[in-house]
Amino acid sequence: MKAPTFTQSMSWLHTWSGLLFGWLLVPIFFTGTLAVFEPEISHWMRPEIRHAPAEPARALAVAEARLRQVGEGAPIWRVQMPSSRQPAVGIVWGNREQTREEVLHPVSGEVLPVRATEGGHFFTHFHAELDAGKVGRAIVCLVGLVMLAALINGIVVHKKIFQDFFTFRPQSSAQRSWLDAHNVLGVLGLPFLLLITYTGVVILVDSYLPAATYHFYDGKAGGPRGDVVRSFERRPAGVAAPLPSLAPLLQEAETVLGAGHVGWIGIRAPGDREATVQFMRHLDDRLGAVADHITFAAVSGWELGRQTEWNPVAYAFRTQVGLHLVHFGGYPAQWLYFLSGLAGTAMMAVGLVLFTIKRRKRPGHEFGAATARVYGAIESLNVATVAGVMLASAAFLWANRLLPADLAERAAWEIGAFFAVWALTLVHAGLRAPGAAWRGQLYAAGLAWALLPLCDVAGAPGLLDAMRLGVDLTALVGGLALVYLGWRVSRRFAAAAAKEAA
Amino acid sequence: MRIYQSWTQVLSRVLAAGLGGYAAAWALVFALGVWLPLARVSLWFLMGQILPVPLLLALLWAFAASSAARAWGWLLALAALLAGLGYLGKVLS
Repeated sequence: MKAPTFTQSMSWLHTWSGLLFGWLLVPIFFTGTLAVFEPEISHWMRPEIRHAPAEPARALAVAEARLRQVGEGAPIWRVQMPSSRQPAVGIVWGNREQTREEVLHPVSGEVLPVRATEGGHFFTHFHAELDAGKVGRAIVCLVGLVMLAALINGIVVHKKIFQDFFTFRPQSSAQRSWLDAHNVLGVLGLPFLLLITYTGVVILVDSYLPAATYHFYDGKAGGPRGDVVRSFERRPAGVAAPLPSLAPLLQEAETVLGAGHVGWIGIRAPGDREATVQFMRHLDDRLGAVADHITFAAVSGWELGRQTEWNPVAYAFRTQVGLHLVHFGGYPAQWLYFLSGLAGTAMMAVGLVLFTIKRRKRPGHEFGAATARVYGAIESLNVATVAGVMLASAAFLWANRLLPADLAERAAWEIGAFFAVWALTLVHAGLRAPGAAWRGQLYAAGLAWALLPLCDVAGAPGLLDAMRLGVDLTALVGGLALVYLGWRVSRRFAAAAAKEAA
Repeated sequence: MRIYQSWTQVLSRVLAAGLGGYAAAWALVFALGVWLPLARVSLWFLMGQILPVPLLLALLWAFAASSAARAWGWLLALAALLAGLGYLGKVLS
C-alpha cells in the first residue's frame, strides 16, 4: 500500500475526526451560541425581575441598606451593580466558606422573590466544561484543537475554496447540496470559526496541558492571576468602627473608572477599623477582559490603590479571552457572534449528515459484518447530538416555567430536565429509522422553541420587558426554522423512499 | 476510505498526535521558559496564547507523515531536543 498523499491524509482526518468529535462539537457550539446571550437568558429565567431604569447611586444605596440589615458580622459583602443586560441589584454576603445572596429592585430596594435557577450560565458552563469540571475543560480543549485541525484540513480538502464559496446547488442531488451548504457555511464563517476556536483553546489550554503552571508556578493554579491583579486588601484590626456611607466613595471611584462603569463592589471586613471597599469596572466596552479597580479604606475614605494599567502580555491574553466572551461591542457584536455561531453549528451538523448520506448511497464494508449496525448507531448519534441537544436546551427553559417556584433543589431539576430529555432523544433515535428520527426530533425541537413564548406568558404572567420579548421572539423564529427544516428533511426521505420503491 | 494500512497504524498515529504532540508541546514550554528573558507571569500568559499552535501542528503531522513510525520519530526527537535545550539552559544559568 502506497503512503497516502497529503490531501488524502487531511481528507481522512477531516472525515473521521469530524465525525467522532462532531458529536461533542455540535453540542458545545450550540450551547456556546446560546451563551452569547447568557444575561438575557438569565433574565428570562427569572421573570420576577422587571427591567427598571437604574441609577448607580440609588442602586448602591439600596444594596447598602439591605446589607447593613442582613449582613452584619459577615466579613465579605459584594454588590453587583445593575446594567442594561442585568437590570437588578445582586448582593452577596458571607465568609470564604459560605455565602448567601439576594436580588433587589434597583430603585425600591424590595427583595425580589426570584426562583432558584442556574440561568443562562448553565449553557456557558456546559459549553466550557460539559458539566464535568476540570476533566471536562481538558476534553473541551482537546475538542477545540481537533476543530482547529478540521478547519485547516477542511481548507486543504476544498482547495477550490473561492469557487466553492460561489457554488450552491440546492436543487441538485442531496449529497451535492449538503456538501455545498457545508462548504459555503464553512468558508463564509471561516474567520469567525478560526477566531472563536483558537481563543477558546487559549482559554482552556492550561487545563489540558498545565506545563506553564507547573514550571513557572509550581503547579499553583491561582498564581498567574495573583501576579497580575494587584490587591489592596488589609488584615482586619479586630477593632470595631462603624462603616460610613459608601456613596461618596462611589462618586470618587467613578471619576477614575468612568460614570456608570462600576460593575462590582467588594467590601471586606465591614464594621472593622481596617475595612476596605473595592470598586471594579465592568467589561462591557473593551476587548481585553480585565477589570480596572480602585480600593479605599472604608473608615477614612482614603484611596489605598488602583489598577488601570496591566501587564501587556497578560492584557493580550485577556484580549483573546474578551474576543471569545463578546462582552464588548453591545448587541451588534453579540448578534454577529450569535448568528455566526448558529451558522457554525449548522456547518458541523451538515458535516455529520454528509458522513451518513455518502454511505447510505453506497454501503461499504468499512466495519466488516457490523457495518450496517455501526452506520445505524452513527445515524442515531447524529440525530441526538444535533436535533436532540436543541430539544434538550428548549426543555431546560420549559422546565424553568413548569417546575414549581419553591421546589427544593429547583436549579438542579432544571439541569436534570436538560440531561433527561437529551438521553431520551438518544433512545428515540436508536429506536426509530433515520428518517423518522430526524423528522420527529426536528419537529419536536422546533415546536419546543417556537412555543416558548406561550410557555413564557402562561408560566410567568405580567408585562414582558424588551429582554424577555427578545428571547421569546428569537426562540419563535429559530423554532419555526427548525420546523421548516424538519419538513424539508422528511420530504427528502420520502422522495428517496419513493425512488427506491420504484 | 482506507488510506492507512491497518487499525493499529491508525491507533499509533492517534497516540502519536496525542502523546507525542503533548510531550513536544510540554518540552517547548519548558525550553522557552528557560531561554526567554521574561518574568514568569509574562511567560505564563505568553504560553497560553501560543500553545495551540504546536499542539495543532503535531496533530496534523501525525496524520500527514508517510508512516506512523515517522510520525512518532519526529515528535519524540523534537521533544527530546527541546527538553535537552531546556536542561542545557538550566545547567548554564
